[in-house]
Amino acid sequence: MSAVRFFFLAALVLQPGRASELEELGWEELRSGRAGEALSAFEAAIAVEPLRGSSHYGRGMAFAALVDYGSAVDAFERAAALDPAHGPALRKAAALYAQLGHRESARDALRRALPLGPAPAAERVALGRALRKAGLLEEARAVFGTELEATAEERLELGLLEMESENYAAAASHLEAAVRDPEKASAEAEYEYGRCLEFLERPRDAEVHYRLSLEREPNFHKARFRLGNLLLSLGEREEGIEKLRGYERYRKWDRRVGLLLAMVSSGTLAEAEKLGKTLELADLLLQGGALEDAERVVTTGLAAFPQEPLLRVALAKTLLLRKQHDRAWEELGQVLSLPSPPGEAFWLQGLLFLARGETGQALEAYRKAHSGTRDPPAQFLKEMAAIEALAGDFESAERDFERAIAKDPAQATARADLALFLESRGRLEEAAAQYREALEIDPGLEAAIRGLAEVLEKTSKPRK
Amino acid sequence: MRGKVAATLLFIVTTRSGGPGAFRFTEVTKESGIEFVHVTGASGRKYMVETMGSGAAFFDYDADGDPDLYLVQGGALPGYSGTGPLEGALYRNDGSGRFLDVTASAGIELQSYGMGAAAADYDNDGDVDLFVSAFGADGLFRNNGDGSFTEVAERAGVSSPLWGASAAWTDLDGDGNVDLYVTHYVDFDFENNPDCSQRKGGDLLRSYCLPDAFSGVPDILYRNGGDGTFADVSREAGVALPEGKGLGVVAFDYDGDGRTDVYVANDTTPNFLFRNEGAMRFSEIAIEAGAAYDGDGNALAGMGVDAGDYDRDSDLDLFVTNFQSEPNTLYRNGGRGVFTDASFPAGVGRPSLSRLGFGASFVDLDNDSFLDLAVANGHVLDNAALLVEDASYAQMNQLLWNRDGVRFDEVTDAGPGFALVKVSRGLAVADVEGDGDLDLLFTNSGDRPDLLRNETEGGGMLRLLLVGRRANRDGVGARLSVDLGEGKTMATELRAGSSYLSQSELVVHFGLGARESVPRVHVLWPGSSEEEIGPLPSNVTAVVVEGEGVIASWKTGKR
Repeated sequence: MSAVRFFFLAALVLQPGRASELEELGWEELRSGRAGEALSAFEAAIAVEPLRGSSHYGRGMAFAALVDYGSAVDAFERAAALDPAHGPALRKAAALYAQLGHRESARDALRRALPLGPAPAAERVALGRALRKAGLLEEARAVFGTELEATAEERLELGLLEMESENYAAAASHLEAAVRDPEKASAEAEYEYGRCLEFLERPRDAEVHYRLSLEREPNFHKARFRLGNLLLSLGEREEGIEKLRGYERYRKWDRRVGLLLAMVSSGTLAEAEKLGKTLELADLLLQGGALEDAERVVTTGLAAFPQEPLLRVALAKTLLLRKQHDRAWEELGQVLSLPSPPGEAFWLQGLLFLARGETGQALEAYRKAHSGTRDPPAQFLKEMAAIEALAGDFESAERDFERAIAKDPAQATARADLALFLESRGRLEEAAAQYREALEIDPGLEAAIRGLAEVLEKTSKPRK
Repeated sequence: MRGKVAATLLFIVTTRSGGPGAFRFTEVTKESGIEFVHVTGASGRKYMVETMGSGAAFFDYDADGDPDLYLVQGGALPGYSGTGPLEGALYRNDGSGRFLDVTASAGIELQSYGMGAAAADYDNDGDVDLFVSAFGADGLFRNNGDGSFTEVAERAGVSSPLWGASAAWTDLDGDGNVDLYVTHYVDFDFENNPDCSQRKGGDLLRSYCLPDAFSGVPDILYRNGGDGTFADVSREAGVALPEGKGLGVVAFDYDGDGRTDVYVANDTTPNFLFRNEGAMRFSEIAIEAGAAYDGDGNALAGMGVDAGDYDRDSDLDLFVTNFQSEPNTLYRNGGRGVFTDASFPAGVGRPSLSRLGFGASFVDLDNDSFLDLAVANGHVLDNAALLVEDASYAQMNQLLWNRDGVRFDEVTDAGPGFALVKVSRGLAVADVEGDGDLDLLFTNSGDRPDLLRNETEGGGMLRLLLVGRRANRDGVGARLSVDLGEGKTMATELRAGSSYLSQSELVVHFGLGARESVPRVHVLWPGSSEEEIGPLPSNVTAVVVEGEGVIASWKTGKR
């Protein structure tokens, strides 16, 4: 927590009757993604007015954002005990109980929540989903009631509920409604409708919806996987195999993320190990483009290890990728002001300079980072090569691209970047070969698909 | 047209047995003379090996025409305080389902911690030999033909010290000798035993590690040289893949090209399908065949596996058991060499979510001509009830009735035998009493096995004992297709090793429902000679010799 925030909080706590302002501050912090600070604010509000249900509710929301579900559920229960008509607290508690596998407690919280009236649609969907995933199908149905004016998201959830109950015809009806309006149809709804149609032995219709799902979200790996398998079973082997290529790489990533998440939230790791696993998880999530998840993991990590510079660098990196450059500079500044900042801080500084278009300073920061790292990772080398290219040092750029690829031959983006570099140097055939290699590794890599098309167009045009 | 539909429906109705309510199984282990108790060797140190259980094999070691039984023993592990000899047990069947313990005279003494068993006549001398996989050196016991066995694993070249799990015998190169495929699990040893405690509430509970904590170990394929020795050809054959954590294996011809392929159920890593390219070369094609993952792209915790033609379309489908909260997977063979995950639409997925499956068998338990599914269940964590809501260490086994070749129904009351709650692992199938219906044997971790006598009032059956001439002696790998009339043909293959760590009897069994006979059975022997036999009456066991057809038969059925 910054010093300014601390004194602001302290001032508010010392003035009785300011609980609502503290609470408002908590919500603001939560909206800005600062769950740790939000928690402090809500706890300060509770210190001023201990029986204020809404502050306990806010505290629960902050704990939930920090992935401390056990504490969150306690806070929601406290909020509901103080204010039995607090529907949101009871619904959140029910959802978390379900998520934690405490089915009886989930049922009980839901029993108390339902008479308080219908929840907003988004809340219904979240709660229904949590209950369904816990196998509480009847309870999930009760959340939706018999509301016929359901939103597309609710239709999706109702469809999934029917799928779970193996009522595929009823599921198809809901899912068809979920994708009826192309403006509101999500990639997930298209995917699930396709899955349902496959179960109903309508493979060609399923194919259409898997394709629509991928149109909406080209990196929707599950849809790509199902489409690939379906095409194989329909005898369309070539496209089927092409769709499945690269899937195993994604699956391994997904599984590793799941495992690390389970480890860091298990409460069983020693401090040093927990920090290491948190950093590894954040890095993996960033590599996979799961930026919101990465930010949540890093924020949670910082709540446990507030002085850890590598976590702050990871937060700054997340913010950079989320295009929140000012906040990224702010976080990085705290690390760079340390007596001996880690090499990663300079690496990120380079990236931030690059984002500002300050290539020279970016290169300088990278070189600083490089001097501090004996064995720079492939990602670093690739980025350095890109900056060298931008700075006009083509020889170094090509060398570092090749070093990056040698370091991690399965990194498709490094090959695509090298291809772009080669294309910019007019070496079109070499560029095409690199794009093809990238696509072998990751057939869905947009940059390579686009780049290869451009190069092929250039090479097919007659030279004047 | 309507008349034809009505006639078909009438045919289906009249040829079916009593449906899911008709099953009845009674546990008869002790009264059958089986006293064996499995020992895990556990001491509280939570060695992963002690939670995997051991298997069983039904095989006719004394060639008297009925299935005898070998039960694999675990063993003592560091810290184990138990006393007394720990060895597997061989039981001789007297033909009526009474078993006599002949372990002492048989001389089957495994020096390692036993896991699975697979039996076949590897030296084509007319008696069935036994392979026992182990955590430690595997064992190969050559049948001397006089009721005793000689341990020859090291001499034969099959005594790998890696952690062996399920094994399967089959002739992969068509040379008339059965080769041996042994799955290997993970790289665990007593010095590499991480603490995999889990927090529950405020308590830290010591728990068994899951396979993610260890690296996989490549499987081994042994080529039978025909002279009593084997060569490890895993690498050149293309099956020595490090990513696998193999537990289950089934050898069968998935694409109908006449060559036996191999499917491996891996625990948490994608399953393997090794397509036999000929000349002992294999390509791993599970992803392009749709059999590596479940339908949603998850690599599940594969344990046991079986292959069978449940939809009676003449190709063999796959069934794989998985972890609790994961569906068991039914891969329907679409006939183009591609499988589709039919688990949920077929009604197999949902009932499995609450159980942790191990042994598995496609088996027609009511002889209605549709293959049902039997599944052995039990959690791997002895403190599962503390760690996972709705989980328990001991669980009920399951029977899924094949309604119509499309959909299965879970049988909730199949008699007292299926009401037992144990930590089951292996599952082997045989007609132990010679009464024409198939009985089940479940092995239980740290406990007695359960022999379930089938008392279901079912339909008729046809049982075929194969004798190879050019093919291997037991006809392992032979593909048989029975003409069921009405344009329906059902295929099966004789397998030596499937399920989980187990082997069922080396007899081809077709349930025939109300049919009084079948017009023909087509036999494709391994090595590609083929012949047609029939017509054959229902309720008969027949001996089929390669190239000679049926040379003997006798009435079989309830006495």
